[in-house]
Amino acid sequence: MISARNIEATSEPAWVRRIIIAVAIAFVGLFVVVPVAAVFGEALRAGLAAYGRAIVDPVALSAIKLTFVAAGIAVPLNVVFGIAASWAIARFKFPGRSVLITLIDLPLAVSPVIAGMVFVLLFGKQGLVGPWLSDHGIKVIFALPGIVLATTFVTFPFVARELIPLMEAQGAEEEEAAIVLGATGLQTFLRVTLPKIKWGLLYGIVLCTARAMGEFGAVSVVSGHIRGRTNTLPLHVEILYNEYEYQAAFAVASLLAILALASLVARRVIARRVETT
Amino acid sequence: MTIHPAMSTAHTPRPTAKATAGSGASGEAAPLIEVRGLTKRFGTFHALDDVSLSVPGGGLLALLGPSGSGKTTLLRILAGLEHPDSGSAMIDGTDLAAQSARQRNVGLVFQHYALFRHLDVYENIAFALRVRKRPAAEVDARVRELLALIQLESLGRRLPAQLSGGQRQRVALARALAARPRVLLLDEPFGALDAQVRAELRGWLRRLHDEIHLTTVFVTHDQDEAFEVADRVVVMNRGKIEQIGAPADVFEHPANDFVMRFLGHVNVLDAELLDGYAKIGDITIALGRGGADGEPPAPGPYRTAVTASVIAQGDVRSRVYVRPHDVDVARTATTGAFAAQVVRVTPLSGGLKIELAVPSIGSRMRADLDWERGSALGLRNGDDVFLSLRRARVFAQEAHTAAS
Amino acid sequence: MGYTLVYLSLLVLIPLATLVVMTARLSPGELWALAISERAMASYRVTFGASFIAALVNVVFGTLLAWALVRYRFVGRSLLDAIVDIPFALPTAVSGLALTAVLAPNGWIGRFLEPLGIKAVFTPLGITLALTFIGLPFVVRTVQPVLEELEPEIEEAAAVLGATRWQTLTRVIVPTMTPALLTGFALAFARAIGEYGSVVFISGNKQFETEITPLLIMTRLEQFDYAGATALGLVMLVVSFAMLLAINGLGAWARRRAGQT
Repeated sequence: MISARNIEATSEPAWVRRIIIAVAIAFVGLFVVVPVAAVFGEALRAGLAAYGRAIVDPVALSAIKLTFVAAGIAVPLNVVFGIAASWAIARFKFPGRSVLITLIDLPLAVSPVIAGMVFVLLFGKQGLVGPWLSDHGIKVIFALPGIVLATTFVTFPFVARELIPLMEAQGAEEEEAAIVLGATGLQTFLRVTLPKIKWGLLYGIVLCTARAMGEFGAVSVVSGHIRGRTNTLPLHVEILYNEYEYQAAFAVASLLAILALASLVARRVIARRVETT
Repeated sequence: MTIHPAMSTAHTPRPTAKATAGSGASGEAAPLIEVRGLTKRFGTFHALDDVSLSVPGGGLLALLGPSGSGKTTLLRILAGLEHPDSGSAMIDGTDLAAQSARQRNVGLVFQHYALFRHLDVYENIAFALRVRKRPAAEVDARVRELLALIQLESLGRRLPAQLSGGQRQRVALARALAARPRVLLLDEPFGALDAQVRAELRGWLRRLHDEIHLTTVFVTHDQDEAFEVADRVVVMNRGKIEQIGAPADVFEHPANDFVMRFLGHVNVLDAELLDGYAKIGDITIALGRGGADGEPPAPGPYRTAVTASVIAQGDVRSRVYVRPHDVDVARTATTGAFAAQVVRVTPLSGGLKIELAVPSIGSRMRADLDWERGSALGLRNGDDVFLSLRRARVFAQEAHTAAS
Repeated sequence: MGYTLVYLSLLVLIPLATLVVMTARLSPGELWALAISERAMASYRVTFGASFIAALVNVVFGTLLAWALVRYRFVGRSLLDAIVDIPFALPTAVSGLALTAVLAPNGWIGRFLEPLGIKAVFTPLGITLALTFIGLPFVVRTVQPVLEELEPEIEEAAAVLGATRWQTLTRVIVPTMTPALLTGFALAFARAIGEYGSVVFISGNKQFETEITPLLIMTRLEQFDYAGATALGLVMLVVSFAMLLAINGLGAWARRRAGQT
């Protein structure tokens, strides 16, 4: 069937088309392109040397380190969970399955501040177990464990949400065949399931990592903003901004921006692979 | 061994085949739709190549052909959804080039219904009137009239998703008729439906046309459908019109080998054409001159209508076409009959299909016998029989050798 | 599997249970008073008001954007398509910083607004603009698939039936897109009300004027006013759940409408 898009019966006059395209480009240009360009523009305004100095500042470096550590713990945990949960959801029917599916979507539906808040309510000084923790000298809030918990909470849906529809669509026949042929559960997983889901898994990991490194709201609530100790990169940006160190703030922000753009590119590349398998 | 079947020879297809007097129930002779020299290309693909056609007022015309033949393109040009590269099309004397799709007031029914899913049946049918801002009372009266016509009075408030395929197509038809179009166009209207529903709706469309006498053109690739519904059939192939005529005409007197092959089954036998004879394997049959359309050709050894230069050259390789129902099967030899062996007997809905091996021709043939004759013969696989050809055709120029 | 359950409980269920417990510690009267305190109400006005307007703007422009991306061919189309994802991918702190820089009186866009007397930073306008940025992908990505699946025959049918292009748009195309538009709106709105990072930079956090609810919650926590924070958190959760239900409901309605054809 030949497309009728270019026949006047089913398309707009040329001038309407041009206006719509112009408006669309202007909207995106003003709202997205300009701000992103501004990040890099402002970061480099004082020159490359100043940019470099802001990045290798010890406080910035420790923020980078903390960001990587938190992501480094949160992402693998969520990957294991994601695989386990999708396996259970896609392959079995069990009571509470739909509850589980809704719970997995939960962190995406709530504000990041709420996410941080529940951990403070639990572990904070006046929280449910707070007094017990301080009696034993265990610090969760205003320390690394709290940051890791908050980061893990907000990023935990990503891998599962990628894998569940993928595994449901792929069906269980190949795994069943493997088991009948004598493979153990683990062997089946490693040799049959993993290769099939590898692109979807990678996509989920990229999403999860990007979000883990960029999380601001939830971490902000639990961290206490202690420079050098409980500041992740995004928090560090805020501190620099509040201290009027604009150029440094933009420099650090530009690092995060580069990370985000890289993850976007990676995702588009992987998405094409997911489609073709 | 010489056989004298009643032979007729072919004329080459005329590029501007004009319609003969219409047989529409209203009997108007003046053409309502007039198409001249229409050409349309998509890139290098010729969808339509110099097509001309007339449809009389009140006629029911079928555009029949394989995919890619241009029939849908022609329909869409009439509807205003495509523009021809050259040529003209007129409805009721108005040149369509001056009118956009919405101005033409034609009714169009799509293969996949294209109903507005968010509107109920009532509003779908009312659409054409609502966009013309007709008063509510008028709209209501017309919609009810149409609902009665398509016999779906009780389903006015249903959504398309709640209807069966056949019901949806009827709603699509009512929708197309709402604004009283001058012409009704249908693009493979029953293609998406089950065989049973298709058969029902075919009869229904024919009866509808008999009732309302609206000039109708529909596109199909199904020969049975075209023959059952239409007054006249236009056989198209690769952007050109091969033949126009009433179903019986087109079937009995095909203008060329494409038409003969496309409609129904046919035995295609390789032959050498000699002066007055065709040699098929070891068999020779006399060729006679065909009469004008509609006249049965006279039997006997006449000169063929093959061109003189061809005859002078001696043998011409060509093909002889025989319809399965023109093959006579008998247990005993008669004058002009030749030996064959039954390979398989298959009962079909209309009669018996006999597949035969014919050693003297060197290929297989098919014969169709009606039930009476079939049971009288009592054929079994492996039986030896004798065949004679009641009628056969030779076409002087075969330009469409690659046709299906 | 066992691991999933343990993990889930630790990470999600227990913290949520905490919320329930903390809520239970307050009497309904106390809870209510905290939830509707003057400062809280002001924050709701700011948060929900700005989110609503931002989501609305995104519906209008997002639809135009989706239309252009699906229907037209032009230079830079695939680049534009990729850029739409950026607000979703960019860390919120970066977005907040960037928008503030751009809209400040000496910023790349702010400098044009200043002479007109439009103040974007430290005003509800700034908050709205930031929330528009955040919600941009939601409407576009929800509407795009619907437009892509729209059969050309539907529009052809409307045209042959006599509809002008405008009539086809308003009577046929827009109604078909309605479930997607509403879903996109709900998604953008839900995201906006919970948004923190992109907003705190540009809002200035003036009590009663530009203080968004998430920030108020944060402030209460810093002051160890757990009760106050809980009450507000509860309000936000209730609204989030309502939005989640609405979104799922709209999704089901859309699927039923599209139905079996």
